[in-house]
Amino acid sequence: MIPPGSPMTKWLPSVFLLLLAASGSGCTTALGVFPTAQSHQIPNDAKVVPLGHAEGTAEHFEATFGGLVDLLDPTSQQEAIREAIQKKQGDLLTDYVLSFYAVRAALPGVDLLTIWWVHWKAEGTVAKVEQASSAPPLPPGNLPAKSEREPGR
Amino acid sequence: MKRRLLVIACLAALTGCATVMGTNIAQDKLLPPNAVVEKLGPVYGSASAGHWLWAVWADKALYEEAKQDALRQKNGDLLLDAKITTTLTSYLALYYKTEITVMGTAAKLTAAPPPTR
Repeated sequence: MIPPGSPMTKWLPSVFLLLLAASGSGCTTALGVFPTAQSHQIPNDAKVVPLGHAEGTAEHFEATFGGLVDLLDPTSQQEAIREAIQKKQGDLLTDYVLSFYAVRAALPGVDLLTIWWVHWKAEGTVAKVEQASSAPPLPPGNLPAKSEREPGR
Repeated sequence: MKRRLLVIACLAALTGCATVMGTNIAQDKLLPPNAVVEKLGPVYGSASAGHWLWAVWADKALYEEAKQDALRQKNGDLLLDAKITTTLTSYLALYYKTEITVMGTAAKLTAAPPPTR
């Protein structure tokens, strides 16, 4: 028991309130990991030459007034992948893991206005695609029409 | 009153607040065109990391740890039709635990048989 008048009795309620406020404010971080075999489609007869490991990053901010934000912004995902590919001057990212780290900033107790900072990271093996045909490999996000696509590997 | 607050704070601390995000993958590795894949069976693996005040990033290193934990069960070298789940649990916003779980089918890559004529 804490004796009355002790200095502990002064700060203990404040600590309890702080802990309650922290637990009541909810989760302020979100994480996700998405392993993927290849960043985009390549022709079946293409030769894949690994160039080495690379890492690319991208970030975006999302704000909402009572709504849901798109943490999984595909543009940022592509930016991170593209940066990793460009670091090794390659065409394709293989056996890679796309992951994000999101942090929410909000006033305690006022959850209507929230701002999220989302940071993406793509880590994997960059490869050069050597094709039998003359058509160049397509960068991520610019896939051809379904009828023109080659079947996946 | 103080005792009640203490009990509530302790309960909140023990329970934690979890955020879960998952995805499904067909295969985790780019396979050569002539690869022969032999399925070994279902596997489960996990890896976790904890930190005070901020969360450990669920990145490739942690994912590889979870994947190897799963593949070790069947001595496989490839993961097929897998469900990957990332769970972040915060305890009073003071301690954060990041966990990746992998559930899927382990497979073995074997050399392709020579072409028959």
